[in-house]
Amino acid sequence: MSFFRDLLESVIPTAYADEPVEDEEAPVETPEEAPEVEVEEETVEEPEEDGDDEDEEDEEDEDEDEESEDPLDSLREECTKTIACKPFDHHFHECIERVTKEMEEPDYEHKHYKEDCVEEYFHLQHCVNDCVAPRLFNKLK
Amino acid sequence: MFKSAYKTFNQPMIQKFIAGGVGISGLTASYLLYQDSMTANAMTAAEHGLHPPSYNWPHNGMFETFDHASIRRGFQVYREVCAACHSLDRIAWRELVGVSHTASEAKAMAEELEYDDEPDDEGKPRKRPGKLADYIPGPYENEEAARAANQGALPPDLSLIVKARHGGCDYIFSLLTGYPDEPPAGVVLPPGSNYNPYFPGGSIAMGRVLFDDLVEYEDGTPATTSQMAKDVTTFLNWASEPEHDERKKWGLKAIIILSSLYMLSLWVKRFKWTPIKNRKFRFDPPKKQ
Repeated sequence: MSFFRDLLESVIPTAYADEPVEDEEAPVETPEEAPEVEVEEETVEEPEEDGDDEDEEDEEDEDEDEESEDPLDSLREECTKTIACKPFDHHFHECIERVTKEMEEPDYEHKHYKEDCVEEYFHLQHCVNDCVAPRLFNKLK
Repeated sequence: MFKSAYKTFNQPMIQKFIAGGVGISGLTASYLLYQDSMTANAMTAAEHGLHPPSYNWPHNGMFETFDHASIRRGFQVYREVCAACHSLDRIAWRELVGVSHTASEAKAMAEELEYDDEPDDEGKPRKRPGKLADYIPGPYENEEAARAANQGALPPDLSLIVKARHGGCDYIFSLLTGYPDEPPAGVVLPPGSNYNPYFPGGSIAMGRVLFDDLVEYEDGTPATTSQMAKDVTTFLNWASEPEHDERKKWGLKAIIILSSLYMLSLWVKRFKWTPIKNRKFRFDPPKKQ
């Protein structure tokens, strides 16, 4: 089966966290080795993926510079402002306004039906998610 | 008797009375049903939870394997963050060897912990440092202790959590990153619970735990919330499906072998049948003399 293993590993690169042979140097070498293996894996894998690879590399480089900002937050913000999601955002904020106004009424506690903005929030998040999901993982490692 | 009853019912006044009664009760019933339907709030969107979007996980494709560097980072996140409340009962230290850690690293992590040993000659319990064969210990002794420490909510065991939730990886990732700053207006949460749109019902006992730069990755990856969520989800997916990489390898092997055998069988069939398919029956009638 070794023929098949070689064949497969040429197609599917696999990272093995194998021990270095010398026991003494083990704790020193392992942290260095691990990233090396990843780099190899990535460089081999990338041509197999879709056409987004070039963008991916660029974005990765950008992200390394600004360390603390989460790409998810900025993407969400960006996506909320798109033409597709703007109406949902508008409805959501309108709902918040309406409900908070309602909550200030004196007899709110005894109201038969109390509105909440879950549905508006879901619609907004659904739209934002559809915009974020295909792009987020290109920005993460 | 029936004749007399028929006669009384047949009188126009009584007929009108019956028709009116039926009409009024029908209208009342439909009004009540309508009123009831106005306040019914079962099967709301909130009850189902927000559906997670499908992210393009690196291990999604037919021939894609796990990102093992991500598994290693995810284990770090599990150990430093999740393990405070969640157990990982079905994973032993030895299973990390060759997947995310080297044997000596896994051994070192196991040895940091104490496990029950066999009793000594006088029957007193002893402790020993952990071995590779030991399972990763949970944070609580038993379910009751876990509930008592978490206001009655049981943090589920994470060994099979990716398989155990609808949406799998996407759900776990969305849940971890989906905590809004504040719940949408009008949502009333029971005390001690948090709002998460992805959790069915919306109120979840677990609070948001992942914040930017909570852990420090040894490979220098920026530890943003989404990065940590992605890594820990990849790790949990590996924990649920440790056979994943091997399974896909076998799939590829099976495809190669079976398709070549199929081709071979086609060729053999044609080879064997060629003379039969190509033969020609000819009847030469005997010449009449």
